[in-house]
Amino acid sequence: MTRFKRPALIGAAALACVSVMTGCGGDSGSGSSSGGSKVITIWDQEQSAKDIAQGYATVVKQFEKEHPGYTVKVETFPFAQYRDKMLVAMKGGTGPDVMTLDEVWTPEFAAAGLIQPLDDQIKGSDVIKQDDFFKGAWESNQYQDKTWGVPLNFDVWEEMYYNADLFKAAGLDPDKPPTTWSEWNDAAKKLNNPPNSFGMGLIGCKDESSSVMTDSLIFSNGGEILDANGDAAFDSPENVEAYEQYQGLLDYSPNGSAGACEQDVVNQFTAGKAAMILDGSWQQDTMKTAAKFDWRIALPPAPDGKDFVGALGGWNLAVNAKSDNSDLAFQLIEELSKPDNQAAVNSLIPALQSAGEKFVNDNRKQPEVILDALASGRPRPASPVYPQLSQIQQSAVQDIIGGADVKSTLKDASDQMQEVIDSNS
Amino acid sequence: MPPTVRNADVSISVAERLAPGEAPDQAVAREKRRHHRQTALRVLCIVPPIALLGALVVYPLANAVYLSFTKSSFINPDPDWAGLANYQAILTSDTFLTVLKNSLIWTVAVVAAQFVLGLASAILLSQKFKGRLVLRSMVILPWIMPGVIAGVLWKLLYDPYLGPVNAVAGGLGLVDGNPAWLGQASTALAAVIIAAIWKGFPLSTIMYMASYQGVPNELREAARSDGANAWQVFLHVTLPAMAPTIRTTVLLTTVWTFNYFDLVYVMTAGGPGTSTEIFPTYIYREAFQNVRYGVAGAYGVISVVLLSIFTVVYLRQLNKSGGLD
Amino acid sequence: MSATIARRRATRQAGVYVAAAALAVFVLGPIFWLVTTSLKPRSEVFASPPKFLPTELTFANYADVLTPDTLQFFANSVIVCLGTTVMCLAFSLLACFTLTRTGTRGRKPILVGVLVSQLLPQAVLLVPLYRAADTLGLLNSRFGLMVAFMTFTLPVAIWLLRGFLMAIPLELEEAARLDGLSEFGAYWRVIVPLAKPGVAAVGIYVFFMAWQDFMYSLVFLTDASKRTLPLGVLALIGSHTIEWGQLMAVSALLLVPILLVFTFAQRYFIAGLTAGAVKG
Repeated sequence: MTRFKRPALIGAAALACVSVMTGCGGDSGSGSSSGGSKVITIWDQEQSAKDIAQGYATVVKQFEKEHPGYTVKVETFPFAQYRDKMLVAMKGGTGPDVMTLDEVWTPEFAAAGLIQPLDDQIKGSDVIKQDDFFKGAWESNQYQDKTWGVPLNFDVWEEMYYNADLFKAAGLDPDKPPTTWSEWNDAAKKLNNPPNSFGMGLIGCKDESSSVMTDSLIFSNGGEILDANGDAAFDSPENVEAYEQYQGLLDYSPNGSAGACEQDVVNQFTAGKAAMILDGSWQQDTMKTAAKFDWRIALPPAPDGKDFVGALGGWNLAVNAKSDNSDLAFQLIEELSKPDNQAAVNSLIPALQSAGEKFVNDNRKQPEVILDALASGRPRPASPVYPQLSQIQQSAVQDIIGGADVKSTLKDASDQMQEVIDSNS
Repeated sequence: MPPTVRNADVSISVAERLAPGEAPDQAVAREKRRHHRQTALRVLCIVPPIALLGALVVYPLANAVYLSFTKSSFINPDPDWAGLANYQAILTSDTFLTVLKNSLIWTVAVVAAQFVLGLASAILLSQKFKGRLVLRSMVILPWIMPGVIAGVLWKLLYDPYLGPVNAVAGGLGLVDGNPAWLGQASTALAAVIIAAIWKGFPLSTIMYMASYQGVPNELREAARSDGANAWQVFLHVTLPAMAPTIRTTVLLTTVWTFNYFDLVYVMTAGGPGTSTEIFPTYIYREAFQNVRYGVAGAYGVISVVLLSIFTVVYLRQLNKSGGLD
Repeated sequence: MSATIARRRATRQAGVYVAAAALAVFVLGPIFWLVTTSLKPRSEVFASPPKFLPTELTFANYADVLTPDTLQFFANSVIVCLGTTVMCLAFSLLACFTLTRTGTRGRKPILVGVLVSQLLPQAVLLVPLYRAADTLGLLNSRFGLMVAFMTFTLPVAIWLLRGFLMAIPLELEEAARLDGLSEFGAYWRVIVPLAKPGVAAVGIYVFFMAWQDFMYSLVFLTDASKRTLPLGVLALIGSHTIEWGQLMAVSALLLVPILLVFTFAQRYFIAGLTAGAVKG
């Protein structure tokens, strides 16, 4: 009775194999997920403000009116999973026609051939003019002398948020926040009153915020991650000083900086636990609802005798290299880049200078501080392996929090970065 | 061991009775035909599920094995043959040892605690007391909560100054100061392990509750009337009767825990440093953040091999005790 | 009844209550925090020392998350998870017919193979599965998602179900055969009904495994109208901010209907168990 069984099982296995082969053997390599040429899709991360969906709806309606016969589909995804979703889809040969990309992803998507250069279309565009955009925002699109996207929004890490009530209680003048690193250290020390409150809340968990926040310390001290040749320069004396400053401030910060992400530090601040934190202008919305004390912002302190330099961040609109509709995709980007529309689909500062300045002046407390910080900013390295470099940087930050020697930690990290760069060139 | 050993030949003994007026050789022929039909039916039943599983899993597995011998990156997506280079690099790296060590501690601690807690709570919830039905329903809550939510929630609980864990523990005089459970390498792994135990043990509870109540009360009564005390009854009657469920549940929770990703990812992302980095988080990092499919594949293969070794050893033990029959 | 026995019983009962209280604190403590956070205004979510009860009770978070979208996501979750449960139970009951016959050769390798299929980490599965689903036209479809869910539900279901079925005494099957039922008939009409509590337990397991998933839903579904609830919940975790109150509110809502389902299923579950125990 068992004679049938083995062949049957082999048959089952074969059937499974066949269904797999036919299913997955060939390179599907189909075009964009829009399939037919009459639908344009755009993907964005889910932004917290509720009216963003409404903003998109208005823009889409306008676009569809101007392009009869075409429909636009807007799909948004949770931020933390957005890159995963896009990676899987685009690596699988599908994906949207237009997508928003974090500016630190733009070079790698460009280098991988997943998005297309837009120089020709921008040259012929009546709407998109380089000079209308914040300089730092536009630069974040440049990779290997081509333009890979159009900036959607833009901001800088960071301003210094401080609790004026705690300043007063510590005998400090809340109208004169620290401007130099040595004043900063003094203020942090005076404000430090554990466990009731601490001088400085510091981000240090294992994500991008640890890199970009400490970048501003590096940049302010004249350091950089990569040198002009694109080689690792992470262990420069300037960077060592910057991270020693960071390590020194840890004495006046709440326990567990290595587990503190951006939100945790904001919570420390709004709960009155941390007297000062470094964060971007976007947190003002949170402060308005959550901080029940006199909170203010200031340009963060700089090394003695130097000027503060922030680290830029923002999102770009890019076109899928496999889009069947690149022209229409670009036209959709143009529609989204009109000042009113750009403001409507943004909860961050619009990347157009006019719209951006208006946004800051209308929505933010102490707008002049934000505009100063924006003007100071430098982008993070435009490297196709940036996410890997950043992870090495995050590990270094965590080691430094754990008490490791700054100089040797940065040396190791720099060597690892160089290894990644070499293995990808 | 079940009281009766299942045996296909039972059916023969039933069918071997002769029909009225039937010659023995006719009966044998009838029996053969019946056997063929029976075999065909058995094959027919097993093929669709296995084919489906095969289709879903064989290709990804083969794909991972192939990729593990190649090198590719986000910007150079075409895999180049790399031989054993990925394995060589991994097996000689410190990170691998850390990941291996963390994974072992994580799996053993979580599975052991889930077993003990699951069994204890199953027995408890089978006793009669007021509020039993409510508690029985409530106990499932951690398990049905999506892992990401549970991770965010536990991160709030553990917050050194703003979370209730330190507030309660401090109030009871159990901790001094405001330890950052997730923010220091010495306690982060233990902290995520506790969250994982909380998240996962209700599954064991349900399984053991079903199994516990399936043990015939007559068996216990008999042992009691033979003078066994409660502990002896549990050890010699209840536990052996529950053994098949326990074996399966422990095996499944082991596999499940080893590959469980969400909690660690949300709570620490593997940090501080690499102190909570386990196989699934590290594989995710390599596959989705670094986009090194070769390295991710090799880690995936190593992880499957480790689990397979465990499974085979475990099943061999199980087989010895008749659990696979 | 003697006084010692009465006293012993009282002690034992007190012990049961202490243990039940400890279990309740461990299980419900975090859930309590979730609920209480969902009822706090943003300014009270984080305080030092933490506030165990909101001083200012608000239902605004619930009002904010109870949108048509949330209900749509919820309906999607129910549809997908029910479909997954039915599909998975059907396949595993079929498989278990063969796998519970000791006469079947190759049954052990199949069982081991089924288990091995469960060993792959999800990060390794996602990209190839996505490509396969793309080719088969199963992307962006609820059915495709149900099929993908088989990767992590079917192996476990087969294993668990087989355990429950094997626990039914063989004599019962023999008796059914003597009554003239075929092998499959005896399995389907006698053994499977007797194992109902087990089938229910496995069904619950499958349903909730599917209920928790977000990774497959994220990768396989693109249309917002088809998304499952966990994805809707994740939307509240933004790039720079987390909507704590709303996140906790929708998470709490996510649990309530399931709690009801389970409470209902449990009645059946327990009734089935007693029936099974008597016959055993």
